[in-house]
Amino acid sequence: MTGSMTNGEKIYDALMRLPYVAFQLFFLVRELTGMRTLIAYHPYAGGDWPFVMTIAARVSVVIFLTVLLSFYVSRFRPISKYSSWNPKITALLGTLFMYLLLLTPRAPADAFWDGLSTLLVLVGSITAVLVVVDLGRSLSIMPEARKLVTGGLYRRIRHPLYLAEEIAIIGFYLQFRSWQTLPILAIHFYFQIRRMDWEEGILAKAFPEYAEYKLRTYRLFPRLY
Amino acid sequence: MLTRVLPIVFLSLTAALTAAAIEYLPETLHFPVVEYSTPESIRIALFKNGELDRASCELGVGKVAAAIRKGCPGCKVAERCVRGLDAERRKILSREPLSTPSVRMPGGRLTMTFSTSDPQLALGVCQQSELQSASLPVDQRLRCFPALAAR
Repeated sequence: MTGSMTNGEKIYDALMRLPYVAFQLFFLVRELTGMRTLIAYHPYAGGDWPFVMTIAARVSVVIFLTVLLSFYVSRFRPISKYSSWNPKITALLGTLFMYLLLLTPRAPADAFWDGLSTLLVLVGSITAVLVVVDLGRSLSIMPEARKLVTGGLYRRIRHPLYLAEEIAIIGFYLQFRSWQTLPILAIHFYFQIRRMDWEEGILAKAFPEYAEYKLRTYRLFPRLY
Repeated sequence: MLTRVLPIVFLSLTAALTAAAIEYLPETLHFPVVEYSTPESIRIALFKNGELDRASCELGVGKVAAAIRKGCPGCKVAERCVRGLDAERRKILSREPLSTPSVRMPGGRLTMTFSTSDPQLALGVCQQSELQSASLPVDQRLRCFPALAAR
């Protein structure tokens, strides 16, 4: 697929990745600066376990953002995609809405919640890497068809990468733990579900065998949904 | 194979990066230090939490020094910003016991140590500082710890 690209197409493809890469780098730098500020206020952190867990939770967010960034940079070009804006906007909102969470103030250090957050973000990151190993470089933000993957973690559910992301994002949320940020999470989930609808639509169009695959699999949770 | 290796890799990476952040990020920060001695020969050293850049540190340390000079015209005051934390400053900002009386703000954002040839006088000044801060909001109140006491 990438082998048939002309130089012009390669440059265009690389340029199209730049805004998302810049966006992701902004949040990475912001998280690192936040960690520095936190340590500036607690320079004696060594034996303070609640604080150490808070730093670990921040580190897990940095790892997750780096994992997402590396996936996106190494993805294939699509063979089929929607021409209308609605699915693209839904996909962008689904992806970007959760970053609003990172712009809100975090809850005070708490060893239990920060520990649980670290665990969930790491489980999400690890699962995402395992999914991407199955998916190869067919990953995308927009609903686009690259290649149909039905093996590995895709054998029983159709969107394991979304599941991995949502596990990590619930982990993110535990670092904030406020009623005010719950609507951000709810709206993010809504757009992600819409995004799955669009994605299934484009895959069904591009791959005739997708209908049969859809019949024998669940969307996110085996036997539940 | 990968399912077994990845959790170990991610957990190790998180632990290593967390330890590195705690160990090395303070080296990138600027810490305000104000040292002054009173006409009664009590030496007081004031240590504050770090600042992200030197300008903020110098601004902060200048304000503290000016307030001390105003409140104690006879005091000799020296202020500076130091980059990073050496072992001694780490200990002062930590919860470890010190060899002199000290006051500490909750969260360790401010620590003052008191030294003089008369240990009782140093402890008295320390307790006085605690009393003077009693009217401040809870998170800004100072607590006095005698020499060698756990903080």
